[in-house]
Amino acid sequence: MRGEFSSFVSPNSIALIGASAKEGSLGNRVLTKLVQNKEKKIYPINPKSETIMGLQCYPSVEDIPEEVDLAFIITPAKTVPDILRSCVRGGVKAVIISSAGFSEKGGRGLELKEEMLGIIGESHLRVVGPNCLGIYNLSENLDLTISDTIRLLDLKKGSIGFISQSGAYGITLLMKGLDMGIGFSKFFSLGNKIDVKDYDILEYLEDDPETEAVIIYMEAVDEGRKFIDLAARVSKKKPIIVCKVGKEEAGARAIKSHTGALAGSYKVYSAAFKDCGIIEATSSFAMLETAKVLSMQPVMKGNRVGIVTNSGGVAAETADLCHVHGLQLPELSDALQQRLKDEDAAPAYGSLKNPIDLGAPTPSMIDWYFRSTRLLLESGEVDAVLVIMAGVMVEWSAEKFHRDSSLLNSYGVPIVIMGIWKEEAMRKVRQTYHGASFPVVEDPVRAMESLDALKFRGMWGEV
Amino acid sequence: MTQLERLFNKVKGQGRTQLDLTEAKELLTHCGISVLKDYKVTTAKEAAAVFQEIGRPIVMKIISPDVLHKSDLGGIQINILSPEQAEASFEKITGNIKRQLPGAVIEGVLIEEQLFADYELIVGALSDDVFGPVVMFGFGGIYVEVFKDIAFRLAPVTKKKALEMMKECSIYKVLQGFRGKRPVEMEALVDTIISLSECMVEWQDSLKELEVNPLMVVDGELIAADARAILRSM
Repeated sequence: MRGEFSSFVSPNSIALIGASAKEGSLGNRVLTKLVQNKEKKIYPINPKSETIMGLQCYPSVEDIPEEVDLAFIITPAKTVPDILRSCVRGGVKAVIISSAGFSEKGGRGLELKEEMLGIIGESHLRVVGPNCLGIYNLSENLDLTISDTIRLLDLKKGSIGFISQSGAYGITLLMKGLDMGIGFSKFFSLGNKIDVKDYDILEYLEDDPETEAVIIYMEAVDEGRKFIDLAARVSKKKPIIVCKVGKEEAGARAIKSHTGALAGSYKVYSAAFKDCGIIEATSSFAMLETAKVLSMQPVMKGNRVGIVTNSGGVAAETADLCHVHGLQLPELSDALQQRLKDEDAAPAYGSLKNPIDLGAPTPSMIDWYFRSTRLLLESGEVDAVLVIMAGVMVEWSAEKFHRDSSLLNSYGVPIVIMGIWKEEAMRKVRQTYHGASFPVVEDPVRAMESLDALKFRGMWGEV
Repeated sequence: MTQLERLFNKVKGQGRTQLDLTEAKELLTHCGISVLKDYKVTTAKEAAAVFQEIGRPIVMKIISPDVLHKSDLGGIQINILSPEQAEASFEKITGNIKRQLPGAVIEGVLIEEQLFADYELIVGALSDDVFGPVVMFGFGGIYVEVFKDIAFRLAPVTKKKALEMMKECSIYKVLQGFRGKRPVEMEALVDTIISLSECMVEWQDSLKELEVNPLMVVDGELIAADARAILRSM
């Protein structure tokens, strides 16, 4: 899958089947996006037009004189089998079928699916879809989706590969990820997965140098064992974080034992994930957050967390979540507590046991945050440092942390910033921290879930 | 053809997918899981005789391929303490089934020594449509679906994974010995989980579900007291 996959993510020539001169139509909107890629050869396909947007139009892909890497099909379902046949004859390598109306519709749709399976089975064609939004290669800023939303977003390139079984929600999560400060490398909306499956994409992302972590919004997988075996291999190299939906499904199957009744599909999915090192996120947002933290910071080598905070309240809420995630808040040694005092890393009146409570904001607190974080990192007494900054401190401390980030990031101990401050300020604050590879998480629940993931990755790497 | 293949063929040949208890026990024994000895009787008189032989409290259960959840239909009697009670229980059980499930095939009544378990566990396995063979461990008995204190893994499992499954369940703490009770033989329990998971893998082409519930813990020892095995329908 790896080599041939370049036709999907980085094609040199693209045929748009269903291109249209009619303004506002889907065929026109998608073509408008495609022609912006000046270095790519774009071939509009439409038997009724001579030229569209100044490009020569062809009746079918077979009529294109040159080689075509990728055909993007957006025509109605019933036309797709014949188009696939012409793609085979025309030597097309990869096909994205965005069209809907196949197995998800039943009846005639199912027949069409069978027909397509026959064509694909007898050819070298690889097919993504149908019923999908398409592929977005952010590494090259190549948008091969039918989405209009993507054009409105100024998505930034990053290191997270995203496989989504849902198209619209996938795009929404790309957008939300942007807000959270996440950059993506590749986005795949797989739809009905007639040919290309999750594991194909996973295998491609395994060696994609632009991708450091993989997130999957999953309804179901095909060939579970194959997926799990591959995931076990990939997760040794890069984290895979999954948000599995459709947890209450059982029912439909004929079940005779308690085991069957209890298995449902979700329990088994969850067990399978554990077996292959997949991190299961509790929600789609938690999936994004965890991916962000994992892509920015090293893993934990144990389960001990040190907390620096200016609010006993947030620290208490956070500490309460430790046992849920198998994390510990060890009491700091007397020597370390003494050092915190001696080096002016905390006020004389605060508690230094862990959490280190810095008390109410003062201008000197920026230095306290920095020094106590550094001393914790250096101490060997904790495996991660959670820096909790409630209120304006997260804004005030941003520059200092950014400026001296190379020191803080040199200990090989992960740092997570939990900052809670007004949104208008946080936009910039997030950028500053993220620019120095310090992930900002804005909620105790997600902060602890991401620390759990750092701990899990640390253990998984050792296996 | 192996013994189990012959067994599966016999069941399929009779148009069944569910093994009866005797057959299920044969399967478990083959998988290396120790099962509670049982006696099959077809008359009340025989029931009384078996009681005499065992000489201790017994339980009696209906043997019928048509009855899935025996206790729901009055197909089980417990605390039988005399030959007379054994006779009466035979009549009661067969009567209940005849009344509640007219036309059900009644092959007889099964008699076992009544064990007083400290804990009841469940060990099950099934062939999942997506992931293939999986194995389950948990807090067993009739409330298993209420408490859902269970853990799954893909089969077969290693010792480490079997132990991981056990630790995921709350019952694990109890099994260490709780309130003066003897701790369960952990090695044996791990082996049981492994055996069942391997059995599921070996026979996944024929078997759909295989379950021991309850897996009784009597004075620290494990005994499979009831079992259910379902073949794939072809």
